[in-house]
Amino acid sequence: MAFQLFSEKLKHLLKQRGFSEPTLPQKMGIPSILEGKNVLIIAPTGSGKTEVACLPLFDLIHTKQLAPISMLYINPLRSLSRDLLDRLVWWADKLDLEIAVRHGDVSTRERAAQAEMPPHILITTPETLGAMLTGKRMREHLKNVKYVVVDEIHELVESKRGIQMSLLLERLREFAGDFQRIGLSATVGSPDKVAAFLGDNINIIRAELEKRYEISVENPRPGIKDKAISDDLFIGPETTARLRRLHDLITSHKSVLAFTNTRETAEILSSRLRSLNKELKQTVHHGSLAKEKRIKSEQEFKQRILKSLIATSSLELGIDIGSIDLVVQYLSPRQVTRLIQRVGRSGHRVGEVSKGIILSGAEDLFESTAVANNAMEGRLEQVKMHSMALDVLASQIVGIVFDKNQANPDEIYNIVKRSYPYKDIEKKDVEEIIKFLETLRILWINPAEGSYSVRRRRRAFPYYFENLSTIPMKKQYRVISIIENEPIGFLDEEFVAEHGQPGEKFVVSGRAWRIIQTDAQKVMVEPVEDIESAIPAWEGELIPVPFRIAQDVGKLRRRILHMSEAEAGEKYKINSHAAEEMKELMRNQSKFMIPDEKNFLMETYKDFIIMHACLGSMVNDTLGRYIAAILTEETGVSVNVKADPYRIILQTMVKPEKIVEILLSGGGNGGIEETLTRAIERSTLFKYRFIHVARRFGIISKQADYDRINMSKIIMQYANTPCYKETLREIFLDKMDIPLAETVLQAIAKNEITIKVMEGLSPLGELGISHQFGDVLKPRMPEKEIFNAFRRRLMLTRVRILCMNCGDYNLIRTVKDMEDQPECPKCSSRMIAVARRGQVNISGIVKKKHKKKDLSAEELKVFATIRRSADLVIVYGKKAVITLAGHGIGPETAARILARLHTTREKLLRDILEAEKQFVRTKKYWK
Amino acid sequence: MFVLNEPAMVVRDYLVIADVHIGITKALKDAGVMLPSQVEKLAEKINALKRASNARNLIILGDFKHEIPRISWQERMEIPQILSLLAFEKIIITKGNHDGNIEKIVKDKRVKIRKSFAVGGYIFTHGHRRIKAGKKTVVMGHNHPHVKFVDDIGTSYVNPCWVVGRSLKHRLVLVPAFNELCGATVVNGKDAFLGPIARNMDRKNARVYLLDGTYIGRIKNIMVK
Repeated sequence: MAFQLFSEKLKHLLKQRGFSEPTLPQKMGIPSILEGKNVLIIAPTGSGKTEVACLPLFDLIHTKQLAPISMLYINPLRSLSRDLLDRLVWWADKLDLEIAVRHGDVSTRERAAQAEMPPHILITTPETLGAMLTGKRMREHLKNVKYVVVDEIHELVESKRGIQMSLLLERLREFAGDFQRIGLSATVGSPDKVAAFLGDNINIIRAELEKRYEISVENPRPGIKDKAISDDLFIGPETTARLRRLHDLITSHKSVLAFTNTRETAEILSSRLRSLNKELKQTVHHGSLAKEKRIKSEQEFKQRILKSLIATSSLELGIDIGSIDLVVQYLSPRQVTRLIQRVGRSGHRVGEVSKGIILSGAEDLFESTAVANNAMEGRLEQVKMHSMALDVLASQIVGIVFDKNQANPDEIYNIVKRSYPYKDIEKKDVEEIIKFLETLRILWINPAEGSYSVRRRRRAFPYYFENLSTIPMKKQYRVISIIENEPIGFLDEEFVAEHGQPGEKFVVSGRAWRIIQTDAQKVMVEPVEDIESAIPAWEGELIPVPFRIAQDVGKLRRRILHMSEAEAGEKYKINSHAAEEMKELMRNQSKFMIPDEKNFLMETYKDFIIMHACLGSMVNDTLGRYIAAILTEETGVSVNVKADPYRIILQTMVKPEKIVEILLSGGGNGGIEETLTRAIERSTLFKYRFIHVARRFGIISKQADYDRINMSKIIMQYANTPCYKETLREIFLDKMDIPLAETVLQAIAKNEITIKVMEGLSPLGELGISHQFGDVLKPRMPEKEIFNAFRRRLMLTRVRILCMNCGDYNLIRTVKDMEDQPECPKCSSRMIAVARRGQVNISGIVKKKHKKKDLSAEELKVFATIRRSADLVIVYGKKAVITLAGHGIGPETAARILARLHTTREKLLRDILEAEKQFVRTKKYWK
Repeated sequence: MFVLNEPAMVVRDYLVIADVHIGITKALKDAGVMLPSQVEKLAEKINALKRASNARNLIILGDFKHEIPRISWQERMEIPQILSLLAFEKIIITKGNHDGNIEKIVKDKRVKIRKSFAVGGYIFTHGHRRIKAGKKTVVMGHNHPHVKFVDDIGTSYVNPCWVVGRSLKHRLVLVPAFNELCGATVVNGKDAFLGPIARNMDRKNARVYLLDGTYIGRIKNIMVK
């Protein structure tokens, strides 16, 4: 038994506290830790992981009498530090160990005291570790570190914070030598990757097996009562039915945690629940609330004063909120891992089952069902790591230079390479960053024989400390309606950056608004009716739906039609109304066609083309942007594109067959990435992300005055630098899935996936179009607009028209007003010449010629030219007039152009434009 | 004459550029953006234009430096530095509104600082003050002219351009800014032209060309909102 391995003193303490039986994670984890192994312990939130790591380590520090600081406990959440301290301080006291917390909010005096009298155990955050490493005295104490515990490592592994911590641990290793590493993780999809991220030779201990999940999906049937309530509460009967069901669930359980996907939904739910029942003790909990308010509601919930919390992902992490008997997920959780982590908050006692209910709407029923079923089968998403993040690398290279005072590229490279996210890095990558940091005047390169060494410059300190936090400071904008002059909600900075231009429409607080003006703090708006073309403002808060879930949705669409409601309810754990709704939707859809994971449907409606493809958020976003990029490059017109997990919606004039053609010819040759790179560079998303990456490179300061900066021009200056590359890398990782999109294109090319083109708007199409547009892709040059301007100018050109027969018809006319086959109104001759407006005397020359008078050499030349132009007009009519009106185009050039016999006016105009450009290349522009 | 795809022109053996704004990086740094020094890049670009055109001399149409009204330490360093990198026999700077006291930091013997400078039928100047041009074509900077396009969806694009037109007595050419980082005057929008010379231009009938030589049309026909 695990506890038997402890020292007598600790065994005694355990007895004192009434710990007789170890929990499963304790049973499995403690022996390995005592043996000195590196371990990753995977167990659900709240199953006593902290003690698994701390009890044996405290015991070791106590028995071996290790010097402080012997152990670091790294937790990503600063607000959890106090909680942890409260939990651990009793044990530490009894074992005569000092324990303390250190993070950004700890007072300077306290921190100074820690440097003087270091504790054995220090609870800290990754960022504070970064700061401590630069302190002279702290660094001395850190040399004693023998154990490092990384808590909530699943949170860190997918973020830039985590990548930074990985490098920080390698820097620490330079001082402290090898230390024992212990990772604590909630249930994740790829334990191997998380283990590798923690370090070498990690034993994975999965202590989650005893936990079982019981998750059902409900779509409550609206009753007559709901209709009445819905009128009172200003929400639809469907929403009311869900709300009432949530209310009933809360009242029939002891403690209910309800999760929503966005802050806005959490707010609305809580306020409507209050209108429904004032007595019900519940409140909201999300990241935008004041810290004090959050802490207060956490405590009240724990003490059962509040029966329910309506929360966003702010409560996913291990905040201790006591025992919960039910977790409700409001609308689809979108990802399996998220659902498991949320539902895992309930049933904390050993052997208890975690119970969760998804309250779903008609639109996301299929998705909720697919996620729930995957969760119960334990199929979680793979971990996605920011490997090779260059901005984090830059600030940590500066950190290494601090550590060493002076470092050469080999030293730096060797430290960086030890960190798992950078295992594939090459020396030249490191050197590129060093050189880039030199141009930014952060580092100083000191040439030495055959190599060089690197030192810091004055900017290095502010740069390093400003960038310890890799979490972008996200500003929020107040939205104010000019009609009522009242705030109606908030918008995220990223959203404003992408869509903040006057005239853009978006949805917030359940209505559509048009932007009148945006300034540094607020967005002024007016209400509009047109909800069809407005973008939902919470777009950015939604996590992507994975490929596999979307594929399962496709299968489910097909299968549900052939099942009875009872069968479906039994198999998929859905209530009967949900099964009814799903069948009903598919019955209506089958009048068109049911798009599933292998059969895509492309339908046209107004100027929309909707391609139904069950490929998930990222693949559809990738394909959508790819199609838009190709269309933009070929036509020179900007294309509106929006993707959701099940559709790609384009707003364009091209035929759907053209889109099919693009999809058929796209795959396999790596062309997607190249095309997307060109397109992404021009997008507003790139601009926004660039700003954040540039901040982490110290290029843009946190106080930058954006009114005085033209960001596009700054970005141009940084083309192909590490800052630019990092922006692209980040976008590709966060928003897209290029390899999978390539695979899909290959399947389309091999006909393993079929695409059917149809007209009209099917029920699934309607669901997609009711919320609108994402990014607008700009062509590199506004070709079409340039061309239109050219056409307008050419048609408005005034030319001199002269009858070669009589010479009396001689006047200036505008090209667009010319007849298709001009004739002389005086003598009906078709010998009509076109000349420059300024050639006043040509009529005289023609008449002189008719009278058989001798012409001078000069006059002969002019005559020949206009004769030739008249020849062209006889043959080609107005087309000849248009061509001759071109800038610097004489009859010779015109003849060459016209001989190509253009089928359309546009083709002719394009040739004229080319000829004009040719002319200015050889002549002065303006004569 | 105009150099294809570049904001530069060649008149006889003079290469002509406008609005170089050395030291703009300092202003941007104050606004919160760090940029590496532009000097070497700009110098290389100018020298490449020299090689391609066989020009022997350089005319800079003013606003060679950026800071107003003083001289920043950066300009003290970078102005002599860029001049030393430029391989011309003669360099004429027609002084602009950003060039106050520039004489104090220019010691290079090849450099002449003038209000305006005539070559053949052309007279070169910055454009923030009136000059006596007679019937000569005035070639000036100061405006950083750009043309704006708006497409069907409402997306807009702004591209640098040349503007060629007339005022009462003479022809007039507005030269696009050489430094890509400085601001813009949208010629086919509401922006007022800068300086007395450009303001006297028959703006409506002035012609707009993109740097690749595309003739866009007269301003009156291409106005956008």
